[in-house]
Parts: sequence; structure tokens; C-alpha cells
Amino acid sequence: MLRIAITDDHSIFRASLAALIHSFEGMEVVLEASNGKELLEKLESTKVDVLLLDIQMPIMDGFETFPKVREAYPQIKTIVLSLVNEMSAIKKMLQMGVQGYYTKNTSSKELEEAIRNIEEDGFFFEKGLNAVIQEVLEAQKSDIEEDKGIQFTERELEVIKLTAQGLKAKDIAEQLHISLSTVNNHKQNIQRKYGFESMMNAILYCVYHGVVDLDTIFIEK
Amino acid sequence: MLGQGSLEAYFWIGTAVMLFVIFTSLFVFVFYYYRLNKVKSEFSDELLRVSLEKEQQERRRIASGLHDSTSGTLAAAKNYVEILYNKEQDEDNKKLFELVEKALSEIMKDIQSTSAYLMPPMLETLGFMAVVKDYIGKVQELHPDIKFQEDYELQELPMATASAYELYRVMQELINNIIKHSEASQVKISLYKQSKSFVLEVIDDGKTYDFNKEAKISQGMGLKNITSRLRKIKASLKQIPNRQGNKIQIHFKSN
Repeated sequence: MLRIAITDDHSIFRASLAALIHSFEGMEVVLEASNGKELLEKLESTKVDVLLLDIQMPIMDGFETFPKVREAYPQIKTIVLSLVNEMSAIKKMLQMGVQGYYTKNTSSKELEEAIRNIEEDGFFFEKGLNAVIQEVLEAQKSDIEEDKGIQFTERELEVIKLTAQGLKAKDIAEQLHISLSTVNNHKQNIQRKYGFESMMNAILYCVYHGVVDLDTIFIEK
Repeated sequence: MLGQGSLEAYFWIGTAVMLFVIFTSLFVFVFYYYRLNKVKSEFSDELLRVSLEKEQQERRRIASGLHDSTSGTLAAAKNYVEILYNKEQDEDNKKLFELVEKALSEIMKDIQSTSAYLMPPMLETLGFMAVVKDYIGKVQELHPDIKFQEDYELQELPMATASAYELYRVMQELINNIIKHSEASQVKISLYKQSKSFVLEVIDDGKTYDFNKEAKISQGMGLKNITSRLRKIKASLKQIPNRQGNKIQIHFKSN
């Protein structure tokens, strides 16, 4: 059972989201909070796998909340679920390292798939935000220093590409004819060897530098 | 019988008194006229300040009502419809739920863009530069025939939200003018520091116009609004003569 936490200050929306998730198989909402502060308090006594986080909230907003959650509970995967579709907000959240970004206008199917697949390190964004995400990446190209010059091994690159497509470690192992633990080792290596905070950062790095083509990421899952 | 001399004396005294009264009242009139004008202009400045402030407050109130409350409730309605859709077996009903969901989604989009226009949602949290970039990004998407270039020396601008809002509106108005009237194919927006103040610069390659002259004769409120807003935040507008197109600079202090 996937344990989901919802943090949103709009109580009617929160209730509807809980009801929606309740209707998805294999998931349960174990925590509801109306702001970041309340979330952090409740996380002390509740174990959570996936966090659905709103941005605009009183007391402690999403920008402030996410780094705190990440520091204290690095195993929790965070998906932003907000009304905001502004590039500046997406960019900021992306740089902080959230695993997904969806607006409240997303279809339930898309959201369900994201929650289900987020357990794997991937790159999950609402299809409708595609243009904005491309722009964020474009704008960031200049922000990234060019001299890092990483040479990934061929295997590592394959793992990065397949991860970017949202494949589970199990499926990657199958596709590359290697064992599951080898895939996980590769993932850990990629992060440790080159100093990436998460697989997401490694994927972003590859996209900025044209190592991985964006079109190969945004394929139909 | 009065003598000739005393009659003349009365005449002169009378004249002097009359002249005194005339000049005094003239003086008083001019003095008060001048004072009145001064008070009037102070009053209109105050009126302007208050009305711009009210406008900002109202926009903020409406935008946050739409954005925080209405949109959230609509999203909730959409979620419930999706639950119904997922549970429904009857194909006709499924189709209907889908249509309801689509309609709700469209309303949400409309409300989003209206509220973002009224008050950019990230102004308070992420600041002036972030909302300018968001705005230019959106405009570029809507007008692919115009090439927007951005050149920012600073990534952030230390500025009170209320002033940042006015500056944002000015920038929006300048860009709107270019899109509506100039037939430009290229626009460049820059922000840089010049000694102790900042400069927001908008250059286009469209039809040349004289800002001050147009602001005086124009029927629309656009250019006049720019002047008012700049006066409120004590910023100044300079038009630099350009061989082709226009170059407008806004000079301002950060607070």
C-alpha cells in the first residue's frame, strides 16, 4: 500500500483529492495537512512514501517546505500539485529537486500514473506543461556551468535514459538484461561518482548538455 | 463751504483708498489663486496615489479570491466528477461526465489567466524579475511573430512588492503598446544598474513615436497610466532617440 500525504490549505480541494486517491487501487492517504508546518509536525509520527505538495499556503509555503522535508525525510518522493503554472515557480521547484510537477487541472489518470511511478527515480511532469518545461530547460542552459565535462559510461547513459522515460528499475533490468541490483548500483554510482543530489539532477544535466535528447524523455508512457 | 484744497485732498485720499482696495484684492486674489492651484495639484497627486493604491488592493483581493478560493473549489469539483467517471459503467453517462470535466477544466484555465493578469501570482514570493520573465515567456508564446530578447544584468531586484507591482504594470503597458501599435518584429527588454539607480529598458524596431507627445494627446489611458505609476514610485521615463523604432528607459531606485 502506497502511503500518501496531502498538504494543501484549500480544505475542500484536500478532501476531494483524498477521495480521488482513495478510489485508486493500492494507495491510501495517511496524512493531511494545511501547510508545511503542520506537515512537518505530523511527519514525525506518520510514515509516508509520496507527498503531494501545494505551493501557495499560509504559514509555510511549498518553496519553504520542500527542502525541509527533503532534508529530514530523503526517502519521501515529492510531487508538486498546485494551481501555479508559471515558469518561475516550476523552475524553482525543479532546481530544488522535486520529482514531479502537476497542476490541479491535471487529469486523474495522469496523476495516478505519476504517483504510481514516482517510486522509481524519474522525471514526471504534466503533459500540458511540456512547453513550459522545455522553456525552463532552455533558460537554464546558460545557468549551468559548461566545464563539468562528465563522461558517463555507456551503461550509465542507458540507465539514465530509461530512468528519464519513467521506467521502473525492474523494467530497466529486464530491458538491459542485467539484474535489478546492478541497475540500482548504477543509479547509486551515477549520483555518488559525479556528485548529483538525485537521479533527477543527473537527468537534467544530460538534457542541458544534449547528452540525452528531450524527445526521448517525453515519449508516451 | 469747503475750500478747493480740501476737496482735492478728499479726492486724492478717496482715490488712494480705492486703489489700495483694488490692489489689495488683486493681490489677495492672485495669492489665493496660486495657493489654490498648489493645493489642487497636491490634491490630485494625493488622489492619484490613493487611487493607484486602491486599484492595487482591489486587484489583489479579486485575484486572490479567484486564484486561491474559486479555482481550488473548481478543482475539487473536477476531482469528484473524475471519481464518478471512473466508477460509471454506462457509456452515455461516462461521456457526459467527461464533458462536465472538460467544461470545469476550461473554466479553471480562464480563471487562471484572468487572475494572473490582475496580479501575477509569484510577485510576492519570487519577486519582480521572476514575474517579468514569466510575462515575457507568455507574450512570446502568444506572439510568435515578434522576437523577444531578454538581457538581465541582475537576477533579482530588491524592491518592495507595492512598487514592484507598479513597475511591472508599466513594463506590461509598454509591451502592450508595442504589440498593438508598433508593428515591431523585434523587442529587447533589459535591466541593468547605472551608478546608484536601476534602468529597465525596452527597445523595439517598430514605428517611432514620441512618448511625451502621445501621452498628452492620446485618448487612451495607457500612456497616461504609465506616467502616473512612475510618479507614484518616483521613477522617471526617458526616451532615447533611435534611428529606427523606439528606446524607452525607466530609471528608478530600488526602494
